[in-house]
Amino acid sequence: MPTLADRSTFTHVLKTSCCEPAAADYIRSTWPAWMPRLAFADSLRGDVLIVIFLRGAADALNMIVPHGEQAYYVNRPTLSVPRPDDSRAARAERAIDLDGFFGLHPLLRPLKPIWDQGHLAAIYACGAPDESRSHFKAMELMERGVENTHGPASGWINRHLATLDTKNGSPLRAVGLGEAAQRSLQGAIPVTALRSISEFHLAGDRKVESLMQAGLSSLYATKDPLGVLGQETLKIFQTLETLDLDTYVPQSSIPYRPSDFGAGLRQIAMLIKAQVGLEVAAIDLGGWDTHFAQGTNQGLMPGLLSELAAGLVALYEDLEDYQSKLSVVVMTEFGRQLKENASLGTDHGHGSLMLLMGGNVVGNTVHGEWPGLEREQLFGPGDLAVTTDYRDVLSEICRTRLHNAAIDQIFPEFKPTRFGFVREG
Amino acid sequence: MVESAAQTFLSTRGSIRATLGHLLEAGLQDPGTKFKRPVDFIVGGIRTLGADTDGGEPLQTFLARMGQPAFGWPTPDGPPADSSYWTSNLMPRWRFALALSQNQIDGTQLEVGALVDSDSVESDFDRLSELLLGARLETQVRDELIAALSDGGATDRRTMTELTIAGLLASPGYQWM
Repeated sequence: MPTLADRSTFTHVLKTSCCEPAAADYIRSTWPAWMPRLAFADSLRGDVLIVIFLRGAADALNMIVPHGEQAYYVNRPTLSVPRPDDSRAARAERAIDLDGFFGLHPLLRPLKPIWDQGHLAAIYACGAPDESRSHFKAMELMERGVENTHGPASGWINRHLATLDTKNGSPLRAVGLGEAAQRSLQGAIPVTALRSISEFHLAGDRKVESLMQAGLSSLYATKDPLGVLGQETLKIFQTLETLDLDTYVPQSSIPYRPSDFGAGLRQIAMLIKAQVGLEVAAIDLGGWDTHFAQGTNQGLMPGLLSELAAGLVALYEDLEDYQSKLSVVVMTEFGRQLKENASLGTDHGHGSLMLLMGGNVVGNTVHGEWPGLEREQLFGPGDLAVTTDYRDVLSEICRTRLHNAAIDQIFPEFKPTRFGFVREG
Repeated sequence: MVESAAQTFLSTRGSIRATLGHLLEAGLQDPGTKFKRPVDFIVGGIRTLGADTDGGEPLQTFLARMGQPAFGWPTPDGPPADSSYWTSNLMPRWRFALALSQNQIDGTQLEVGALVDSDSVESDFDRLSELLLGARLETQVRDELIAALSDGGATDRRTMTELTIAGLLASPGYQWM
C-alpha cells in the first residue's frame, strides 16, 4: 500500500537488481519456473471457457427469429426478418430455418454449418430475474452472478476460479480482453486485462527497457495484492515476449476481422494454442442498444450480427482441434421489447437468449421453454418472458465442463433446475 | 457507521450539521486508500512533474489504454472508484511512466533539467522522491540506488534522472492516493 515501507521497497529493489549488472539479462533468459508447458487437457481442468458478452442488450428476436410466431410479424412491421419461405423477400434477406419455428438471421448464415454439426446451440427465453431494464444494473448483477445487490461483490468467473484448484500457477489463467478485466472476472483471484499482446511491453530503448524491467521486478517483490499483480504482469510480459502475433497463422478459412473483437478472439486462440495456462477468457462486443434505426439487413444491428458471426466462425475453425475441450458462451444483459418503436428500433425488454458453442454442446437445438409472443404471454410492458435462468446454463457448464461442483458459491442462493445444455466427456 | 449516524441524527433531533460532522469524523478514522484511476495517475504525474501537454491524442491514447477514455465512459455510473477494477492493468501505467520520463509522448514535454537543477545527483534524487512519493529516502539507501543506476548502465546524469522518474511513477507506492 502507499506506505513509506513500500516506497523503501523501491529503493531496496533498485539496490538489489541494478547493483548486479547481469540482473536484467538474468530475468530475460530465465524461463519462468511457474511455466511448464501446461497441457491443454490437464486432468484437473475442464474446458477452456470463453465468455462473449454482447453489451447493450442484444435483440434476441432478430438473432434467432421465431418465424413461426404471427405476433412477431404483427409487432414488427418494418424490423421483422422475413420467413424462410416468404417469396416476396429476396432469399438473402429471409431467415434461415432451423426447426420449422425458429430461424437464424441471414447474417448469421456463417454459423449454420456449426449448428448443423451439432456444435452450436441456443437457449431461448433466457435471462435474469432482475426487472430493472437498466443496462448497468443488469450487467452488474449478471456478471456478479447474484440475485440482488446484497450478494458477493466478486464476479461469478472469479468465484469459479477461487473454488477450483487446478494447480495452475499461470498468470494467464484468466484473461479479460480489453482495458479492464470484465466485472465477471473481478475478485480475489488475480486476473489480467490484456488489450493487445503486441502492446504488452515497455516500448523503450532495449537497454533502458531492461533496466526498467529489472527495477519493476524488485519494486513489486511484495506479497500484498498489488505486489502479486505486478509480479504476474512481469511474468506475462516474459511469456508474451515468446509469442509473435504478427507471425501467428490462424487455421481459419474466414480470417479474423481486424476489429477489437476479431483481434481479441485471435489472441485468445493464440494463447490457447500456446498452452500458457489459459482457463477462462472474457471478451465484449458492444453497441447492441438499438433504440434507433436498428436495421434488419443493413445498419447497426446487422453489422454487429455479421461481426459476431465472423468472429465465432473464425474462432471455431481456428480451434477445430481443440473443440472437445472448449466451451464458448455468448450472453447479453437482457432482451428487447417485441414491438418495434417509432424510431425503427426496439426498447429495453426482459427475456433474451444465450448461444453455446463447443464440441460438447448439445447442439443443433433451440433449448428452453418458449413462452410465446401473444399479448397474454408477454412479460411486463411487452417483453419476452424468462423461462430459463442464465445461471441454469452457466451452472451446468461449471459443473459438467469445468469440473467445478461449487455452484452454491459461484451462484449464491441459486439452485439450478434446468439441465441438458452440454454433455459430459 | 450507518447505525451510529442514525443515532446521531435521532439524538440531535435531526441536526444535519451534527450528522454530517459525525459521518466525516467517523469516516476519516479509517479512510483507507484508493488506487489512482487513470486520470488521477496521468494528470497527477504531469502536474507534479511540471510537464507541459496539449492533452492531445497520444496522451488520450494512454488514458484509453489504461481504461478511462476521456468523456467515453459507456454507462451513467461513471468510472468505478473500486481499486480492484483498475489493478489488473498495470502495463499501460508502466509504459506511460517510461514514455513520459523519456519525452516520448508527442505533445507532452517534460523538462527533466528543470527538476534537477542542484549541484549534486544526490540532491536531485531527494527532490524527485519528495515530489513523487512525498518522502525523502534514507541517505544510505539513496546513495546505493544512485550507484546501482550507474552500474546498471545509467552512465550519464540525464539517463539516471529519467530512470528515477520512471521508476518512481511506476512504483507501487505511487499508484495509491
